[in-house]
Amino acid sequence: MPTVAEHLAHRLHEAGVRHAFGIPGGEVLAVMDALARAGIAFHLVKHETPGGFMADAVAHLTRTPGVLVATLGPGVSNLVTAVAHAYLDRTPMLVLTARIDPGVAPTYTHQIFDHGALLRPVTKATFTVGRDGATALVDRAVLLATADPPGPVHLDIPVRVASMEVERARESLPRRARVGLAPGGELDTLVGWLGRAERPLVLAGLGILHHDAHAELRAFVRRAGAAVITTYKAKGVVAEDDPAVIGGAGLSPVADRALFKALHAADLILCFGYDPVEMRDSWIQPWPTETDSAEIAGAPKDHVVHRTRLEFVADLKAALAHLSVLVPERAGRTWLDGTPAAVRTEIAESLRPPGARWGPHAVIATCRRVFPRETLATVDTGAHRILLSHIWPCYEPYGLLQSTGLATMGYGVPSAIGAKLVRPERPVVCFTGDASLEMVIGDLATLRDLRLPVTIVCFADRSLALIELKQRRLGLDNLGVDAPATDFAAIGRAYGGHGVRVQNASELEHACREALARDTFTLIEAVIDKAEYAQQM
Amino acid sequence: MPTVAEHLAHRLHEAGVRHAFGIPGGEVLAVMDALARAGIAFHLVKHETPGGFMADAVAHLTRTPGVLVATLGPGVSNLVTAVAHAYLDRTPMLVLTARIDPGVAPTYTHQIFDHGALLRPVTKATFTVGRDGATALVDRAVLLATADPPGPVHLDIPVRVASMEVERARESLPRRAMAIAIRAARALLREAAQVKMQGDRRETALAINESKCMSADVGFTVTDRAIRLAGGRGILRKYPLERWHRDAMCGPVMAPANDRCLETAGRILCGLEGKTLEFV
Repeated sequence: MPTVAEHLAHRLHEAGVRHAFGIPGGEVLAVMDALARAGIAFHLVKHETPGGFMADAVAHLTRTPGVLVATLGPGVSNLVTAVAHAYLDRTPMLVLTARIDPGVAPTYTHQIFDHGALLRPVTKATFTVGRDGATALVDRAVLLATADPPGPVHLDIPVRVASMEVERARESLPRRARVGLAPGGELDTLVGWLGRAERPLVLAGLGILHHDAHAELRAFVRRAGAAVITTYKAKGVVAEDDPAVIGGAGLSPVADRALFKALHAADLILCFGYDPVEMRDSWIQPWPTETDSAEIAGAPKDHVVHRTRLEFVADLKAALAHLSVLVPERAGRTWLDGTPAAVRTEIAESLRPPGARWGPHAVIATCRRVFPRETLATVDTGAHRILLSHIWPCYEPYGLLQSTGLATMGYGVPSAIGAKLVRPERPVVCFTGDASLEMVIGDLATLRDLRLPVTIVCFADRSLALIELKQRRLGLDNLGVDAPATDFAAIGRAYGGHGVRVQNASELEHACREALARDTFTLIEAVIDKAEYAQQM
Repeated sequence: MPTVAEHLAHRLHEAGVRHAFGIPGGEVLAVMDALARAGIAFHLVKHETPGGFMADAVAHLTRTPGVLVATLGPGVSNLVTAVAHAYLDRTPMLVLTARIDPGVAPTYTHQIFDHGALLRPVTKATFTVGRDGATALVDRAVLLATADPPGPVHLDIPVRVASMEVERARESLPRRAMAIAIRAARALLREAAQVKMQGDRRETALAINESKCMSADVGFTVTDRAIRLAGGRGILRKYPLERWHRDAMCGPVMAPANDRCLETAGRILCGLEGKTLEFV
C-alpha cells in the first residue's frame, strides 16, 4: 500500500508535474523522497519565494501545476510572496509544507504559528492532511489548483501522516471537458454585433493563456477584422508583428493616453479572458459603458472593475473556435489601418528618446535585435518594465514571463531559471533592475548549481527610479530611493557565472552575443541614467 | 494640525524610535516623509524581511519598538518572516504598510489581498487606520506592541488617510502620563529628604507633608490608570494590578490622611503651627 506522500507524488506526476522546488527541513523528507521516486526532480533553492517563482515559470511553460516544498515555521513564512503571486497571477500551484504532529502540538510552541490562517488570504484553499480521507483530499487539492481561475492550494502535512499507508487509488483524476458557448439569445446578439461592427476591439488577457486559446483567438481576430490590445502578461497571444495587434497594455500612463483613444473609438469591445487584476487604476471602466461590449471568461466575474453588456462563462478555446464559425467574414472591412495603426505608431514615437541616446530604450532595442525570435524573456517589476512592455515585441504566449497581478519585485531571475530548466533548447534572457536583482541575489547560486546558461540584463541606475518619480510628483525630497552602486559584474563572477559591465550599445551587443555562446550564465550590468525613465510617465 | 502620519511619527519618536527600515512604494511616501521630519532615520534595504531583522536588533539594543515600513501587496507578503520572527521572539515592533483607499477598493483588484488577514496569525493585532479615531488607534498600537509579552503590531494605512489632518494630541500617552506622575512624586520625596538633611524643622514638616500627599495620590491614580489600560484583565486576581491598586487606596486615607497633610502644609505656609508628620 502506498503512503500519503506516495499518493500525492503519484497524483502530481499524473498531472504532468516533473519539477518541484524548495528547501527541505527534517519534517518534509518523506514528501521529498516520494516525489523523487515518482519521477519528480527536486531542485534546492536559496529562498522559498524565488523557488515559488521558478515553479511558476515551469507551470506556465509546461501547462502543469507548479510545486513548491517547504518546512514548517520560517519555511512557510518565507514562501508567502510566491504564494500571493500565484494567487493574483492565477498560477496553478501546490504548496506542500510540514506541520508538527497533532500528538505533540498541544505541548509545543517552538516555531509554531497557524500556517493555514496565514496562507488563507492568498490561496484558493489550505488543507491539513490527516490519515483519514488523505487520498481524496490530495485529489481535491490538485483539481482545485487547476480549476478556473487557477491558483495556489496549500497542503499542510503532519510529519507522521506523510508516511502513513493509505488505500491505493483505483481511479485517475477526472478529466475536464471544454465547454463552449450555449446557443440562444445572448449568442445571437453577439453574432449580430460582430456582423455589423466596423471598429471591433479585443481585450485579451490571462484567460487566453490558461485555456491555451491563442490559435483560436488568432483565427477569430483575422475573420472578425478585430484589433487586439492584450494585457502585458498576455503579450504574444497574437504575434506582436501582426497588423491587428496594438500592443500590451496596463503599465504606462503615456501609452494609456493613446490606447484609450482606441477604446473610445471602438464600436464593439470584446473582453476575452481579460482579468483586470493586472491593470492600474486608470483601467477602471476605461471605455464608455454605452459601447456594445461582451465578455467571455472561464469563471463568472466577481469584480466590478469594468462592466460589459453581455457575459459568457465558457472555455475560451472552445468558445472562440465556435465564434469564428458564426461570425460573418469581416476581414478588410474594418478599421485596422486607421486608429489601431495610428495608436501603435503614437506609442512607439512617444517612448522613443530623441537621437540614438544610450539608455533603457537602447538596451531593450539592442537586445531584441540580438536575441533570436524564439527567445524566452522574463522581466522584473520596476521602471524598466513599463518601457519594455511597449517596445519588446512577443511572438508567442508566455514569451515574456512576469509578475503582473501581484507585481512583485524579484521575479525576473527565478522565473528565468524555471524557463531554462524546461526549455533548454531556447535562449532565455532576464531583464531586471538593480533593486529587484539584489532582493533575490542568492538564487544566482541556483542558476550556477543547475548549470543554466541564462543571460541576465540588469538595468543599473542605483535608484528605485519609479518611486523617485512619484516623490518628485508629490513635491517630496529624495528619501529611501537611492543606493550606492554594486559591482554586478563581479557578483556574476563570484557566483560562478560571467559578469560584464556595459555602457553603450555596441558593448551590450557584443556582451549579448558572447552570452548566447556561453555555457554558464552571464550577468550584464547595463549602466544607465535614471533620468531616462521620465519620458514614460 | 498634524496629519495622521505626523501623529504616528511623533508617537514613535516619543517612544524612543530613531531608526526605521524598509522599502518604499508610491503608497507610503507620506509616512516615510513624516518619520524623517520627526527625526527618525529611514534606511533603505534590499528585501523587507532582512529590514525587519535590522529593526529587531535595534529594538533589542535600544529598548524601543522596532519599525518596519513597506508598501502594499508584495511589500506586505515579503515582510511575513520578519513579523513571524518578532511574534515568536517577542520583539516590540510597529509594522507600517500602505493600503488602497477605501473609495477605490471596490473597483480594484491589482496587487490586492487582505493584509490584515494575512498578518493576523503572526501579530498581536492588525489595525486599519481610518481618519476617525486615528490618533487613539496609533497610541493603542504603540502601547500594545510594548505591552507584556512584547510583539509586532500592524498598522495598515490607506494612502489618503496618511495625509489627513487630525486633532493635535493633547493628552500624552497614558503610560507617559503615569511615568511623569511617578517621577514627580519621587522628585518631591527626594527634595523632602534633602530639606530634612539641612535641618530646618518648619521647612522639613512642609516638604514631608507635601511629599506624603503627592505619593499617596499618585499611587492611587497610576494604579487606576494602569487597570484601565490593561482592560478587563486588569482586575483578575491572577495579575498583580488589582492588588497594587487596593494597596494604593490605603495611601491617601492612612493616617495622617492626605487632607490632614494638606491642612498642615496650609497652616505652615500661613505662619501657624502644623502638627502632622513631625520629624526632628
